[in-house]
Amino acid sequence: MSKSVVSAIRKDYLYKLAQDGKRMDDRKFDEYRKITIEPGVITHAEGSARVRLGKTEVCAGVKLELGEPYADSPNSGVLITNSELLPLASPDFERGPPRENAIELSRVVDRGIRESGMIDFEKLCIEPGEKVWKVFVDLYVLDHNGNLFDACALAGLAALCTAKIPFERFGLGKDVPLPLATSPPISCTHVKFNGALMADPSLDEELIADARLTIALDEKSHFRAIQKGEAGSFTLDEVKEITKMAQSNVEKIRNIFKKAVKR
Amino acid sequence: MKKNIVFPGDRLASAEELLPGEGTYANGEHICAAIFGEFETDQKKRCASIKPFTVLPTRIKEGDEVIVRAREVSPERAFLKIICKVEEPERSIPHETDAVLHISQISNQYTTDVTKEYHPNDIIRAKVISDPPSLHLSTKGKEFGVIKAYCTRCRRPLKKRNNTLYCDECKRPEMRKMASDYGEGRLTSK
Amino acid sequence: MEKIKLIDEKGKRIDGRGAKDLRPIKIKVHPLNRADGSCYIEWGTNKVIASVYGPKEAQPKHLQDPLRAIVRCNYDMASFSVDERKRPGPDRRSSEISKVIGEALENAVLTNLFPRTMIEVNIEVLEADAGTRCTGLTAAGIALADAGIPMRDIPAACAGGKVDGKIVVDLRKEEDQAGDADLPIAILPRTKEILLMQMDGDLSEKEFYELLDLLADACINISEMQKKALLDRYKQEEDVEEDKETEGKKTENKEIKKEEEE
Repeated sequence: MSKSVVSAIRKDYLYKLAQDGKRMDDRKFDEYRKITIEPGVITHAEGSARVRLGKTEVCAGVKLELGEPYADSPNSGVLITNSELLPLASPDFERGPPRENAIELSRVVDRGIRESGMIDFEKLCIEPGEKVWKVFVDLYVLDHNGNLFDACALAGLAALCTAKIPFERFGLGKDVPLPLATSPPISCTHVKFNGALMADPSLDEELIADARLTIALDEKSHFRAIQKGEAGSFTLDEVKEITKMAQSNVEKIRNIFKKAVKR
Repeated sequence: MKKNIVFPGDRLASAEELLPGEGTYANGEHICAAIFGEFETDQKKRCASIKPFTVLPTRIKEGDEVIVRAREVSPERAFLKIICKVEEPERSIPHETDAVLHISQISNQYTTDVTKEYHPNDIIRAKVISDPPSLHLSTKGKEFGVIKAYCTRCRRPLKKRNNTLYCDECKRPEMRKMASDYGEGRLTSK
Repeated sequence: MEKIKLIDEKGKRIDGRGAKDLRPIKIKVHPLNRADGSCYIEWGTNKVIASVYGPKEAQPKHLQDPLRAIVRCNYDMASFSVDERKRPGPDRRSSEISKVIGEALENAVLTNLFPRTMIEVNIEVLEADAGTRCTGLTAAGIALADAGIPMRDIPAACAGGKVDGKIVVDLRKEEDQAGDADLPIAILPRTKEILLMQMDGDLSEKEFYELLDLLADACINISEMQKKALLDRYKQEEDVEEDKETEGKKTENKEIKKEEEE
């Protein structure tokens, strides 16, 4: 209860700041918080990364297991993305099965990876219809200070880029890097409140947002995944403005990503 | 420059020598530290206490500025729930949060009826004038009073116009004891 | 499979440690922003992060104790913390460990100061290599101190066991799996009161008491590391502020302390 009251009061403050073109942490509307990507932090994982986006922190790990393919795609490996909103990360997160928010988060990150063609799923097939690699991307939110979408997407991608196929553990030969086809799409999240559009929302901004829009763009600046959230709406012009913001941010983030994950 | 830094469990003094103060506890014949910080003695009060190095669980005490929400308002007094201490909005309050505001503590002017000054669900900045367990509040002074209020008819937030509050929807004014920074969204008065 | 030798002729363990040696331990205090208190520990290959929220109103209400605070612990292992992927979320093992750690911590906290409230301790194992409950409890002890929660002492924990017929402290995974016994304990270092003790395997009475003694010493070592980590964190802040206070009554207090110890 106290949280919603504090948020209701802060709303007035953030509205007022936004009218003067300002944000609470002195960022510009299209400016991201500092991003740090630390790949390969978990030795037991096939691939892993810890990502900090401002004060938000996510740890992602990739595990591979052998399993059966889906009946409709007998020659393809399987991707399973899961996110855990740990009670560690926020007083509002509780232990237990994932709620709507966690499921939406997992699915948006999943689409960003799956539809990008980044993973060459055909190469993850061992015996068609019988045995394929199942790739588990698990996202553990450690500190929630807003914009889990982008932090989780980056962590998931960075973990995948450092992942190997664990042939050794299954007695199948030597480990090889996970076959990745293209450079991944980068996702950018924006919120709208009181008519103002902002990239990379902080927690306070997220809590009062009328609407949220996540866009993932690939290297050719093509749209690869989109998710609109919250009850508010966007005009077409607003979507165009967000796209413009995303295009310039994606470049910067991609550079940070490439520097961190040398592959 | 060197400080006497202590950790939970450190023995500070014998119980005959000093009284256990803030951040300490009596353990049989000894006074021990309960928190991580600097050991201090108040020679006058013969009291051992610890100046903490970390943030401690919130304790509401006399003199604190708090954000409260009105629950029930009667002509003589308002019953409120403390939402947070203005300096520590994130940390939960580990004790009773019910508080009372008496008609004599509403403002420096004469108040005839509390229901004319505050309404249920009003968000108010107030000052604590008594120590727990029974928390009494005051909203005397221009920095104290309503910082966010809702129209009693349509529940929409009221806007400040000149020196009154106004509902744009119902096109009518409402009366409140306002803080000077009503609607600016600040928790602290500074 | 051939049984590997875990202790060589010179008494050295597979990572070169002696029987009483701990794995390297690195502690970072307050790594998280959102939590009221937090701690990250790397203990050998174990990587564990702990956070504390509260005291806050106990929910659900029937858990409230009108006389004191309750301590609730959520111990969880990340899916990628072990070789074979663990299904995310709570299971029977993590529930049991949560319970015993919560009870151990509750003993250390001065719960009578916060009636009707709950102190929430979350332990996330990011990487596991035997001894995670002890690593988690040690981290939780620091996180509680970081959250300013009054305690009788900062609890510390360590596991030990029997490997190749010898008593050793702080088992690593190979030793845990192939060893003859595993005994994790948590104590209040000052009084050596035992807060947590579990055991499986086979130990003679003599071996058991010998191991307990070694573990108590290990916990006291760990306790020193916990205090140093808190001090380091505080000093960092001090450097920023750089306030110069006059020479205090430090010396006389030190004397009192010395007398007490004798």
